Amino acid sequence: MLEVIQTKRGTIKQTHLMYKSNLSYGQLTSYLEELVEKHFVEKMDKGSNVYVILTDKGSEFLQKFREMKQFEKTFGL
Amino acid sequence: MASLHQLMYLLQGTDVYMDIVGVLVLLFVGIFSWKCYKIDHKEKNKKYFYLALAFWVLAVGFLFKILTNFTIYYTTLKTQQIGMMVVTYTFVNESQVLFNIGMLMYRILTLLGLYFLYSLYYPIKDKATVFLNVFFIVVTAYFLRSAFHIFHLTTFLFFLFITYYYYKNYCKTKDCLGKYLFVSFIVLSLSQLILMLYEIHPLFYTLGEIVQLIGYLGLAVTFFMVRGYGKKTIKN
Repeated sequence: MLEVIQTKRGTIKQTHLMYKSNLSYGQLTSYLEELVEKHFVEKMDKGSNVYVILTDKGSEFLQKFREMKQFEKTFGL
Repeated sequence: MASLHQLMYLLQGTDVYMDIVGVLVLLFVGIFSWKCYKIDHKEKNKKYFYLALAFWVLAVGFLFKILTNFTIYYTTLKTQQIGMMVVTYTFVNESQVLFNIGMLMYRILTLLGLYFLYSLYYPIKDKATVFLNVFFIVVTAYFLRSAFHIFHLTTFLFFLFITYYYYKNYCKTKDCLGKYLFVSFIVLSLSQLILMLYEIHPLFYTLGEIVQLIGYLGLAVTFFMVRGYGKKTIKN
């Protein structure tokens, strides 16, 4: 989900996020709640649309996660 | 031949700096692996822990090797009677304690570090076997003081098997960084082969150290490229 938001330059409509992540509305709400709780994303209402914004902490986490995955791949862990 | 000796003269004492580079690279990789372990340890993922342990043990081994470059001097008083005269004088002695301890610890920790790395990729489930292996490594390291070529042959074999694992990993993932890592370890294996010939001519020591430095620099490049990978943004 975080990667999907990042590909959209850090801001995405909630409905678009749901389609891009292949999630049901229930799953999306539950995952988003956890991400908001951990301060990885923020929700913002703009008119009738809800936008999901990637925070600095979320961006930093994503970077570390990618580093870890690449490290694991390179060293065959 | 004269130019060879000139080269050796120029490179005299530089092995310390080469070893320091090795220590830094090993420490950096170890620290990163430890950080990954701290993030992922809830899932009982011990792979990062063992990798960090292996690299740190290797780094400490190198630190002991660096220690052998320092010498302890101590003075002793000696009294000698020459005819009617009693002459007392002090003279400076060179202690081999640091050298002997440093080399022993270097051998033990290098073999242990490589064994940890090896057993990460070729796991041994039985704890008794691991204990016995560690015991044999320590005993072997102790008795290798007069057969340094056997020590380098052992490290070469460890490097060879680890390199083979990285090669298989590269074939599986086709990852460019996996290739760099595999090549770095080939160079490190090669350096052990060259160092094995040290007793034939001291030039092989210099050459081995240079090749080893290239290997560790390759490992450093691979590691920093892994770190840089995280900063890349995936394009839509």
